[in-house]
Amino acid sequence: MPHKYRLPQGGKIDRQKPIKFTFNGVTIEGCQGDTIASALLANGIRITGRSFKYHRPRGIVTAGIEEPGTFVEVMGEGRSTTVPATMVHVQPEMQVKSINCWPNPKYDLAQLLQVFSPLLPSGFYYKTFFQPEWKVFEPFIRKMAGLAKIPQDDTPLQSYDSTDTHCEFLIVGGGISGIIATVMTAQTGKRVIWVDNLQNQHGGFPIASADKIILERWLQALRDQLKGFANVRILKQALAWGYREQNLVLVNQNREEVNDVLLWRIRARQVLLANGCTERGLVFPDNDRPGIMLASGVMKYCQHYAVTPGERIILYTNNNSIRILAETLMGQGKEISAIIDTREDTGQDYRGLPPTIKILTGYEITKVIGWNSVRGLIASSLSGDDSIRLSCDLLAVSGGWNPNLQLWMQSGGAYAFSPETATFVPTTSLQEVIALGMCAGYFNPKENLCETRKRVSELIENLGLKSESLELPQLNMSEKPYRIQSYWQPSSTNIGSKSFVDILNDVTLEDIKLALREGYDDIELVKRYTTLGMGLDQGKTGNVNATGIVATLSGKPMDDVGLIKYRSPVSPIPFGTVGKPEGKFIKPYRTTPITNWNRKNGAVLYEAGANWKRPGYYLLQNETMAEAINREARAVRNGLAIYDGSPLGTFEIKGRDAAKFLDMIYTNRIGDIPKGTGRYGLMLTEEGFILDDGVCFCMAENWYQVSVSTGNADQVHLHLEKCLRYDFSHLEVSVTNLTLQWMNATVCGPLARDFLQEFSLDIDLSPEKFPFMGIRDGVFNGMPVRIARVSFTGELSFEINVHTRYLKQLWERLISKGNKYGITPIGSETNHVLRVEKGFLSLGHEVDGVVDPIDLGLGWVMSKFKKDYIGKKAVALNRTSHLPRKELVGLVAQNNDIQFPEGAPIVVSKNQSIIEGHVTASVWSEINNRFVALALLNNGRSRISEIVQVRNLTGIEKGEVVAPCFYDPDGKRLRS
Amino acid sequence: MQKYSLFSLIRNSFTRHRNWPRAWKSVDLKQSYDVIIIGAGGHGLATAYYLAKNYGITNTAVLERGWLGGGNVARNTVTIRSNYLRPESIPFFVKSVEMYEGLSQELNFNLMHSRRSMIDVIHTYPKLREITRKMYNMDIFGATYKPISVAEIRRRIPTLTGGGANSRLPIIAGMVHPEAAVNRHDAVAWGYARAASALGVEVHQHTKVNRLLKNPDGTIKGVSTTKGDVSAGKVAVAVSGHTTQVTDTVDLNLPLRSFNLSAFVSEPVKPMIDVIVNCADLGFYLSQTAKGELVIGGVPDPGQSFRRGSNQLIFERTVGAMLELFPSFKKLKLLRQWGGTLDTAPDSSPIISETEIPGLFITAGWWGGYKAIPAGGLTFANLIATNTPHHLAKSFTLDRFKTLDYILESGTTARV
Amino acid sequence: MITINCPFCGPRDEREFEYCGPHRQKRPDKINEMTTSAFIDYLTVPENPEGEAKEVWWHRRGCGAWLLVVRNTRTHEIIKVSELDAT
Repeated sequence: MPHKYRLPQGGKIDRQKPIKFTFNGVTIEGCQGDTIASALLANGIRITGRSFKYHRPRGIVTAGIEEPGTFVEVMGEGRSTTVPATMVHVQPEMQVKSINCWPNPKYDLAQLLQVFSPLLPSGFYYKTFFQPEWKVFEPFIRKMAGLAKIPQDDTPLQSYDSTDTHCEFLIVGGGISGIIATVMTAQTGKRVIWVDNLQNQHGGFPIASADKIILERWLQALRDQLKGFANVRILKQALAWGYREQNLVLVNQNREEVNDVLLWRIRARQVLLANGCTERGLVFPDNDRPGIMLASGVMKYCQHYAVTPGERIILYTNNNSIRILAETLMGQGKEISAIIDTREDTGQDYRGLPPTIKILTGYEITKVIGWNSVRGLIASSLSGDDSIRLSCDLLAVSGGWNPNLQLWMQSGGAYAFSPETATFVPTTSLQEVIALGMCAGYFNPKENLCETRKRVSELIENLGLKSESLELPQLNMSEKPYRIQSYWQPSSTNIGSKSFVDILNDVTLEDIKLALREGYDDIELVKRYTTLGMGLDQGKTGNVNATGIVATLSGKPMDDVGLIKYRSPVSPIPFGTVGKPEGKFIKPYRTTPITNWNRKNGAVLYEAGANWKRPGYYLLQNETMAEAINREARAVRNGLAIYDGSPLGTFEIKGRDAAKFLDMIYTNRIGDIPKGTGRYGLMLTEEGFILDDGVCFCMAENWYQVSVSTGNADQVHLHLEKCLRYDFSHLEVSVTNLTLQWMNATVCGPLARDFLQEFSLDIDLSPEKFPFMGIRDGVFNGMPVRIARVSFTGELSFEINVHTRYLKQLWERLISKGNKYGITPIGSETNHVLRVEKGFLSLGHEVDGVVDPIDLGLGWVMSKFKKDYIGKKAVALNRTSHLPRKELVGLVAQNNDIQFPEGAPIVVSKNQSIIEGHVTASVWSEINNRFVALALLNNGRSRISEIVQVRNLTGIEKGEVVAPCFYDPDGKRLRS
Repeated sequence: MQKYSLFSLIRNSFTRHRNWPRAWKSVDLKQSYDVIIIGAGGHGLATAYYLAKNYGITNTAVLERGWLGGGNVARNTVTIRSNYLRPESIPFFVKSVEMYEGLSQELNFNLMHSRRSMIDVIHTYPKLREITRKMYNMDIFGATYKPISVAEIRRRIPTLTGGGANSRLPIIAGMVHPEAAVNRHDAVAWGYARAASALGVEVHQHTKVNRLLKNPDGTIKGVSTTKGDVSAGKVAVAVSGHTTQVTDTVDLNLPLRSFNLSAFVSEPVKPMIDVIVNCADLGFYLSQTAKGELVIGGVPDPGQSFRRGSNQLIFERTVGAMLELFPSFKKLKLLRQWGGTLDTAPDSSPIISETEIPGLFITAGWWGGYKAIPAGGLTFANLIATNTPHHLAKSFTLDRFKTLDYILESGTTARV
Repeated sequence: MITINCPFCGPRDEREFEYCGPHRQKRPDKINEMTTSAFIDYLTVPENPEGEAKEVWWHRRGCGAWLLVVRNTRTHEIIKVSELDAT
């Protein structure tokens, strides 16, 4: 056995399987089953890290998730960021590194900082480092702060996944009360989930060995019994870390067999928190020296890992739970030299211990001897008349026990101070949750058993369910109930020593005193001023002491001071477990049946709103983007083009009151649209904002089809539904979203009609029979089609709608037959250029929340005959403020080579910060052979031919205000 | 007020820091003041400070139901910037950013104010268009937005390895806002409280206002608190998130709804990100504190809310968005998460206004109100002292709702 | 993340629903005859209770029902769910 501090037998480690790993470059041997902490302790390594602020030497303090002393980085494969050394099992070849030290924890260079520690009281940085400026100091301070480096590799060995489930009963905690609650609720036959929580795996409140054997045998029998229940799911190696509204509990389960972490979102009707308790430390001078550990940690290392990291052991306490540790250590042949108890009256607590143990009651530790490791101490009587020097190499401390309130607090439950147990215990709950056993403050095993059974059976009864009665085992230790007397702070402290309240964040008693002195008198202010409880451990071993200290110093009751609020998560969890699996952002693209055709034919595809992926333009070989767009524009103006308009939002409005409904939705008249015809319309919100523009077709009596902008389709759908179900619920109308049912290929250009006439089609395409804004159903080469004569380009245009499954076929036929016409597929960028030439509206450009339809020159769609429609009153009201209106105009630069940048403001003068408008869209117009722009300008319509100033980052460019149409102002081509 | 400096720190170290005075005085609540400010948060304390400093109004009580600086100033993500769209907003926020820069010296309190630059990571053309428009408008008012290439984004943020050509939303452009900064939020509250207290302002913690009191003529009379009635000629409400809870006691109708907005921090790690990264298309932003923690924020909860927790769904989406751009953060650990309540107006712009009850003033509707604390305090103090709105905040009164002249900022439309 | 007990589908996750704003009075029939201040209050002043709030949710990715949900804005507890009856 190479391990100096390993016990010859016992423990749950496998001595036959040694594991070698490196710690700060030095090879260490542990056993299968060891944590990094237990392996280091077994090898007698005392200094395992340096503290955050003062770089004091630190060792291992506990054996669990509450560890405030030692954090490490795991390097190499399977890298981690900062983790407590107590929570990572050793693996072969593992490389472990201490944090906060260089070159190593024993000879840390930054320990020189301790010389300056008198200058570093809490909040010192608020008082200095700002003369001359913080930025002079910031880089140094930032370098000193922070813990591990972030792992650079993107592919973790561990993968992450998540799942949702629900149950009637969720039990959190694998201890006594957790098992009892699980067995009892399992008998109800309802779904039960049991989380064997990592949080209470430090061993918990100690139990006398005779009772422990009885209890463990009984608990094992219960565990065996559970195997017979199909309604119980057991989550092992799991940590319940979050508690949200409606009893949603978040659990991370480490599934070693598949090397992943699974996030469970569990919705439970009833949560039973059997989450156990955690020991707290005692505050005394230099209580952070390596070799000073919590009693529960020493106990767990002894029993579980067969390690006792010391030969001369002293116990220090304010309660009688430590006696069991004394007995356990003696049972392993270890020698206890003294027990120091701050209580004057310890009653029968230490009766029967061997006389070799010096029992000092009413004593406190006033000095710790040893710098890098505890070598001894001075204990003084509280009365102050005696002090005694003792030597030791291990000091085990118990300051009492705290229920693990983290989840309880997250659930919104209340809590109060219990003087008998000198800690905070849960009181009334906010959600459907009860606390059980030690988590409820019942520390004595016997009481724990009885109370747990009572509470769970009451709960089951109240829910109208049944379970069998549970026979409890007979325990002997009732004569020694848990007794504790508060001890929050040493009666005096000497200069040069530090009494730590929060070991991880280096917060001392003096820091708290200073905070109170300076007026930071609320516990939350103390926390923020001193950083108490803000570390990785969230103060699990220190926060109650902090409350005790603040209460004592300010003369307030414990309940008035309260506890620092524990926040989610209970213990840090990797972001990978809550992000989507493998970091993929779940927001799937929507594609049309010809997206693949587009890809193959040079389309540059991108997000075009509402998650649609569509072509911006099609790039031929050796072509620039501008050349491509110009080529496509020429095809539309002079020849034949085709556009995939499938993403356009399409809704069918049917029912007796369809026209009435649409007359409320649209600003213009809908009721008189002739059958087979459409009308351009605008939808407003009740506040008068433009929600959407589009075309509404009358298909038949009481049957309309509306098209809306791609990016707005979801929002418009919501608006239509909401109006219908809410404000106009008396109308008989139905709205059906047909966006994905009707897809279209839009054929446009002067040759469009000639071209389409080459196909077998039962619709007369002549302008007389099928005028602009008409809509016709028919059969096109065997495919049912619905063709609409609408145009966003200002050119003759046929929007051929087909059922989704026919689109590819339609598209390919049009392309192959269109070759001789030079048919050119065009993208949305080209569409944008063409609509700017025509002065057509694009919501994303011209509508920005301050304009109404009248501003946009669409006053004619605001019906004067309709008494009411959505937005009518608001638009009228808004116009009573008589602020200048931003009106849509065209803009051309005086200098022909200039393209006004989109978004550039129009200013009154270069040096005045008055903005009177802005450029909304600006394009090269191939047909006009110049740049043209649209703009919103204060009272613009009355300023045609005026010269205005457009401001870009380098200066002013002058432009002439023109009418917002640069092509075919009469719309002849459109209607041709 | 004892001056804070390296010298005073050294001097006090000889007496083991036993002689530091209180940062703010503790006195009994009087029955009457010139001005009562409800809420000892960032805006309330800043207002009290500027009332005293600029207008000599020192007979002021700041009443706080909880602890000093315990509202949204304790819960925000300390992002200070002036990249707004509308000419009504930009100068206000430019002023606020400027004021923050000299505030440590003015308040004699280290706010750890750190100019960081904000980099907007842009994935869609509509967002690019909107941000470009902001750039031109900001330039007019002396604020900076500079376009940068995708390669430059990656050079300045080496951990940003996602968002490549094959990702769901490739990065198409970036914009830098060099004036953006972060600082220490608690210090802002404490610094203002200490400076205001030195000028004679009283701060009363754990003093809850149960209702407002009106005179028979309809003007404001004072407040009724858990420590008794207190009268004042002017009462200012600065209780972000809970404004309507106070004003409902006098049946005031305000266009405000309360929402929950949450944030979270990672474990502290060594410095790796020197800028504020903002990604509006994916819905998250982050920065790294001096302590090494990453502070990450996202979008609000749907529905009204007064709770301070976090919505798991929003949280997961925010983390998912972050991992999309920063895949190596999968192993980084969540340290703490929390939420706060904010109230927003229909146009999501702030309200700094007198109400229809003469003598009753509100500052509300703050979404991202942390960056506005100095200018918000300055302009609110001006309004309270002179009864006329400050020229930087004249558009932010309640009057705009009377004609529906909303100040719609980018990324905000009228809400459902 | 909340679960809403849809009267038609049973308890379903928030992800299936869309929040559609606070419950308000139905659009007045004679909106043109409202006074300006009443109209502005109708448009811009919602109920903002710290406690039980009535709101409208759409089971958009579910059965499509429109629901009136009574939810506590402090605890997010859902007190009652019923079909939206706008009459």
